[in-house]
Amino acid sequence: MSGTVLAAVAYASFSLLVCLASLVAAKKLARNHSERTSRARADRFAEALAGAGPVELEARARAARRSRAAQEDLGVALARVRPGLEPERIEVVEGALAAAGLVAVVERLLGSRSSGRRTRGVLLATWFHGVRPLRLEPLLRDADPDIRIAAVRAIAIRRTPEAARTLIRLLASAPVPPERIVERLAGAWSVPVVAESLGAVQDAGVRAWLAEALGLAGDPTGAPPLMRGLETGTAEERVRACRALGRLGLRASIPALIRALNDEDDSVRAQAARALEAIPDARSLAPLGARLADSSWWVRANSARALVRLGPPGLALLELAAGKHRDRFARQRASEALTLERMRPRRRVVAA
Amino acid sequence: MSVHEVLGVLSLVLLAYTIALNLNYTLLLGLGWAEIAAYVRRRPLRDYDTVARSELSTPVSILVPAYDEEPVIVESVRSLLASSYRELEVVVVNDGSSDGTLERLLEAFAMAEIERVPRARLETQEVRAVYGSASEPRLVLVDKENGGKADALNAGLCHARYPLFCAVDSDTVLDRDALARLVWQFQQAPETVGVGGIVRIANGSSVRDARVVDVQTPRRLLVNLQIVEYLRAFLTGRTGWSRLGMLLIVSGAFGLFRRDTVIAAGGYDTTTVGEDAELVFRLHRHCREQGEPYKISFIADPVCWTEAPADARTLSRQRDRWQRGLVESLWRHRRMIGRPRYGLVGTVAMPYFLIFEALGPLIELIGYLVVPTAFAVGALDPMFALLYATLAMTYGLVFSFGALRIEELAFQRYRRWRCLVRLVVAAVIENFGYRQWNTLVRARACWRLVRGSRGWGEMARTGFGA
Repeated sequence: MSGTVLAAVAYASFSLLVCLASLVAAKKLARNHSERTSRARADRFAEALAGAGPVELEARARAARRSRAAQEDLGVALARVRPGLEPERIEVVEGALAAAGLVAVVERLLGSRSSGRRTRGVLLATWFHGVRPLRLEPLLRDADPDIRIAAVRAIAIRRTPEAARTLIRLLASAPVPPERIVERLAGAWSVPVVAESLGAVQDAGVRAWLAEALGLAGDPTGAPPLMRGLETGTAEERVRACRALGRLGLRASIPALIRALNDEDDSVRAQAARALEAIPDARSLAPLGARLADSSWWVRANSARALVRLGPPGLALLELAAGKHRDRFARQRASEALTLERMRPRRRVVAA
Repeated sequence: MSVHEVLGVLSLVLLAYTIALNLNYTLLLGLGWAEIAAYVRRRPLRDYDTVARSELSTPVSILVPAYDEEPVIVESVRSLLASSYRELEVVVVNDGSSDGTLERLLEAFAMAEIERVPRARLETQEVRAVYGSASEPRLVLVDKENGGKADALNAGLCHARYPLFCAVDSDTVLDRDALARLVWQFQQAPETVGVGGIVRIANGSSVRDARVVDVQTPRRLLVNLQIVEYLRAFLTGRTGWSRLGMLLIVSGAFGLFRRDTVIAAGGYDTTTVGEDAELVFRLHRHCREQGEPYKISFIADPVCWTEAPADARTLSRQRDRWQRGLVESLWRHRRMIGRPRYGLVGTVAMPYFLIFEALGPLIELIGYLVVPTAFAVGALDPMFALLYATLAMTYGLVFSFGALRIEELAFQRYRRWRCLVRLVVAAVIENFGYRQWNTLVRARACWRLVRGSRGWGEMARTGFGA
């Protein structure tokens, strides 16, 4: 074999190697550069959104229309500064962005047949939807699950009663995981609509999710419909109502939760005990003590934990149960809870 | 037929094999690239933070089988508990450790014996006790007689209470949002029964507060060679197979599964050293035979960091085990091979794994013997031999650099230029010795398997802090 061929092969291999290494290095350089540019641009946008005059703001927004990266940086900046802006300033920003035609850009993307463009559209919508209502409902039935879930997020951003109603309707029909809808629905802004719907909706599954949303919202005005659901709802509704009442932590709900400790369904009893753990109150001492001998391990364990949270009276009852309870399982649960409590590095503040 | 002719024909067969293998790799590289590019485009849509913080997200039990993991176990459990995923429990299974694994856990997390009713019945070695923690209610420790990793995982499965479980090795550190990223797949495609995430090598990186904070490549060449291998395997191989719906391996170090499906399929197989691969084969088989719609996928973003073997001896034991595990799994499920009933998994993926992964090392080894011999005795045209060697090496380079470019495109975990240079050097050097050594180790594993070897081999752990 001639030396020329060997040299040619060696040269070709070396060239390929250099070429491949350069491709990797070029990608790294390009990415580093775009990250730096993007960060600086988002900072400039944030500054302008916070303090620039309407004319300058509109000019910046118009400039952002020209590139995808700039639109995204503007969106990121908007999401960052929006919580700190006064309502009057938000009006100025909204006016400038709408006048610059950015909302129209998003609308066009949302209506596109290309999945990639719709993906970008719904991403921009999560930032610009707060500026002006967009037609997002069709995206809730998009073939792409990521777009559907992002559309739920974008709808919830407006925090209006209409947005809450749209999300509640979705719970019954849209191909979006209910958890992702309820997370977005959960907030003080939606409580009146959710509470009203809880009494009106026919579908028990939807009512159960609405109960969950009320609990997550953390607004005490949501408690009365939850207590009604605890008395009259299906097992799933009762479980969710217990969880929600536990989260709200209202003492007014204790009698209803104590009654739920005797529910026929062990999941409801277990959740009631867990809710009572979250609202320590002397009234629940005896009912929780009785549940130490429940037929379900889950209820026994939750009741023992709830008794620990009651402080000295609960611990005394557990001591008694650990030594003398006629039920072997009750003795085990009580002694287990006591052992763990004794080993706990720092005792909790007693509330009873 | 003369010896010359036999060698010549063999060389041609080997060339055809090399071309077929490289065509497969090219396809996987393309698919992996497309999948990751699509993933990068849609990544900003996914609000992983909310999924992680939400009380409504599907709860996850993390199973940690631990055997003689005293140096790393406490740090590892802390890292898992530090996950941003809210709804989780960590079930550590002490598999009859002979060191202080149990004592270190009892002391570090103030644990006491509790009663925990098993939620499933799988045959395991005797469970001595179950412990709960006074300081961390999400932690459960199952102490049992030694029965191997699969047995420990089965015990963990019985005592786990959540619908999804994630099996991780005890020497691993999860990224804070890794679980949320895996759970997202289950929510996006409810028929999902298993999802694998990427395993990255933590050697050389800084671990602070049970987090990998400063990602770097180490100085040691052997580890850098493995980093390149991992990137290639995960970013092109697994991503490509996942896109085709034919993923056959979810790493035992990091995968999320639907608990009831795994239990229905019989849990982990305790008689193989490759329980992770075997489980995925069995899930495919179970779901196909039951006629259930299902999906097993891989996503390249949720990261699990692991400590890679830093010496050749430990590495050879690890590779030996992986190879035996794969071959055992293929042998156990040989009925699936070529059967249309098992879809593309049976007709495409399993034959591929049989020919190119299980038998691959043996064929490559024959190649290393035949081609030089044929060249030496003059049965092979020197030009042909040169082109053959160049082709094999060039393709190796293309795939390694392809994986590095995907890494730079999508993730850029290694921010420093120094790290990239080390990986580039490793990608070149691996063609001269490392690949051949790896082939030898894997071929020896096949031989050991034929001779009936079943052991795991010892893995030296130094811990991330070391």
